[in-house]
Amino acid sequence: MKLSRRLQVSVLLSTLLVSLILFTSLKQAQIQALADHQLERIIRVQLQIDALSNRLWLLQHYRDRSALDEALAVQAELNKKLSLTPMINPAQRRLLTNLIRLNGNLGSLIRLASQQVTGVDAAQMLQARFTMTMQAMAEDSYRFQLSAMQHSEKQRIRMQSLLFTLLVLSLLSLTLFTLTILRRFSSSLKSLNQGIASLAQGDLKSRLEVDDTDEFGPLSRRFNDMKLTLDQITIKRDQLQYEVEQQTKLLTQQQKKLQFLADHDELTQLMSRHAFKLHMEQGLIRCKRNLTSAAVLYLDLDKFKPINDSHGHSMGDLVLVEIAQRLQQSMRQSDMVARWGGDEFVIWLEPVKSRAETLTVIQKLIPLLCSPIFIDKHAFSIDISLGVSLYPQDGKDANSLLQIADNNMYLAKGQPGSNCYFSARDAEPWRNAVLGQGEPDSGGPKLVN
Amino acid sequence: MKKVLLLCLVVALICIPAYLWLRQEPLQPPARKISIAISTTPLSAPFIVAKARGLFRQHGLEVELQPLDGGLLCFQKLIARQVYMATSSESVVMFNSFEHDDFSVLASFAESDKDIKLLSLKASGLSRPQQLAAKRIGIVEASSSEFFLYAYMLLSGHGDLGFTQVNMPVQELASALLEKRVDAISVWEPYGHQLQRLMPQEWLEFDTKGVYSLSFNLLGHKTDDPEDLRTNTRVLRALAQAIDVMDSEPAQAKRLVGQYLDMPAAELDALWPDYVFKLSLGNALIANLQMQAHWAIATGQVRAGSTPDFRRLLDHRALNSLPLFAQTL
Repeated sequence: MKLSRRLQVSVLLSTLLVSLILFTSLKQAQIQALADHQLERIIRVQLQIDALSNRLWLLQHYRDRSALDEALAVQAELNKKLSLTPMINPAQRRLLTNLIRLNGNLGSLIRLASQQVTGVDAAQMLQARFTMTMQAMAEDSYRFQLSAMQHSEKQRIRMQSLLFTLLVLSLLSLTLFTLTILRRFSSSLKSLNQGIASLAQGDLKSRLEVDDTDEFGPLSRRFNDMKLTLDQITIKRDQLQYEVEQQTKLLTQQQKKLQFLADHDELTQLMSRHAFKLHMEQGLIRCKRNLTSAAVLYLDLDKFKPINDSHGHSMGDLVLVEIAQRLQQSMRQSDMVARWGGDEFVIWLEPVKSRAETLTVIQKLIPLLCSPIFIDKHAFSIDISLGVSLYPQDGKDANSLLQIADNNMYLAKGQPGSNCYFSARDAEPWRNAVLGQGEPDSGGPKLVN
Repeated sequence: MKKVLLLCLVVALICIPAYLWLRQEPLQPPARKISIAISTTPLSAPFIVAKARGLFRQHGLEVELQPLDGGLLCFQKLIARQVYMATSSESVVMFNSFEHDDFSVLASFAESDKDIKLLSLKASGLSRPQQLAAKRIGIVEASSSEFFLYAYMLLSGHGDLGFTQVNMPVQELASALLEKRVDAISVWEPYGHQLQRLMPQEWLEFDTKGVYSLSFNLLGHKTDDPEDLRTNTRVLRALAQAIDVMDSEPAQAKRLVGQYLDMPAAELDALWPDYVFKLSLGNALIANLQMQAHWAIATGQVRAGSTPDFRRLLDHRALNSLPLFAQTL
């Protein structure tokens, strides 16, 4: 049964209950009114019996026409009153019938008394008959009154019992019915509340149990539909977000790859010329700010071309990769190495305290690079021509420093074997170092074996 | 919900049998066997109905009814202690109260102002008191039949009228009238109706309304034995219930009485409205007894200087112990 229907039934039950109370109250009032009316009639009868008793006494004493007429009139009036007295049950009917009969007897006796009652015995007997009859009438009238009162009391108790029983039953039914409504309401509301709470916590999968017997059924179904829709929307959004993230990741990877490709040499994985120059610019800024020195080493591999020519470019490439690895392994974290093109490499050393420190680095670097390279059972040996430019002595910008280093490299290349050249403008005695031996030449490039 | 209903059902199943068991009357002791002598008249209807409907048994009594012709015989059985109780008219009580004081009147249970009739044959034309001068009138000596005739003559102003009183048993009165051994009879029911049966429409009834009111009373031995007092109360309770049944189911009551007395239904129907059944023990009875006692002394029916103290005959204890409602009935 739907809740609205249940509530309607509840209202109906309440209305019935009120009607019942009203009905029983009215009925009780009606019974009371009837009892009151009956009692009033009985009391009138009793008063009339009393009046008749008085008249009979007068008749006994005066024995005249006036007393006789009065006695007969009162007796007739009593008869009238008796006939108007309502009777409710068989016992009352019997008592009333007896009263009427006794009154009739009295009438006969009075008439007898009007004739020729003579002698003491007759008078005494008449008086005794009057007395007996009057006593019997008084007794019956009081019994009638008692019966009426008891009947009224019984009726009242019966009505009260009926009312009480009906009230208890009705209230019990109403209470039980209301309890079922409350239980149903609470249960459904609790279920709905739990559903909303779980939704608030992000649970889109669970569903409410749907009971179509009341209004909560459609509500629960709509709630479930809403959750289903929300679930579907969320799935789409998540999928979209995932897709976007995947694409973004891919793009980022590609961007990084492109950036890497742009910034690095594809073969050696060393920094590209462009990236090197950018980083070098930043390095120069740092040096300028920190008032530190730096050096650019321009390397060119000698005897590389014959390797290419005799073993192919692939072998040459492997040699270049090996050289690149050796360069990277020998550099500090703060240094940069780039493949400048072909067999040329550029190194940025930052910071360097002096020309001597640069030379020390070079003196460690050259033997490392010139050590034999073993590839596929072949041993290759190369020489290094190395030009050096120093910041800030040789230049303040990247191009000039690179140009000077390049120039010095060409000067070194002009000499057989591995050589290193510093700028001639430098007044320091070790500007052109002989790698591994002797003091740097004080002027012009120095050949290094 | 189901649980609540189940609980209610269980409570109801426990409470209802418990209530029914508790409201049962406590176990009665073995029924006491008593015998009651009743007169074969419709006035004994409460006893007949109570017996037939098992009302005595409901009150723990095994009652044997002994039907006898008239209250006098019943009284004699009582005095001879052949019965526990007896029923009789107040006339029998009055006469015997001069000789016996070992009985009590427990209650009046019936009244009638038409139970005794003065009848004559139509052919005789006797229907007024003055016509009875020098006539023979059949009566039952020392019974209400005799007093009724006396009262009628006295109250109608013919107390000094000379007539012959012919005494005979009640069952012979009708035949005596028919055989013209008497001119009129003073007879109680149902013997009066015998005449009507034998010669319908051939008899006359004197107008005696108001002259006499007969009461039928329940008599017992004078006793203070608690067991007897309890028994008396139970008898009166059963009678009160029987009167209730007679009020509410008059047809059924008349059928039972008719069967018991072997009376035709029409006859009983004709007599029934003349009777008033109620339990009482008031001054009206004392007044009646005194009136009759005065008559008995005055007419020499009894040899006594004064009337007995009838108050001592009336035993109110049993009637007063009845519920108020039963007394009202």
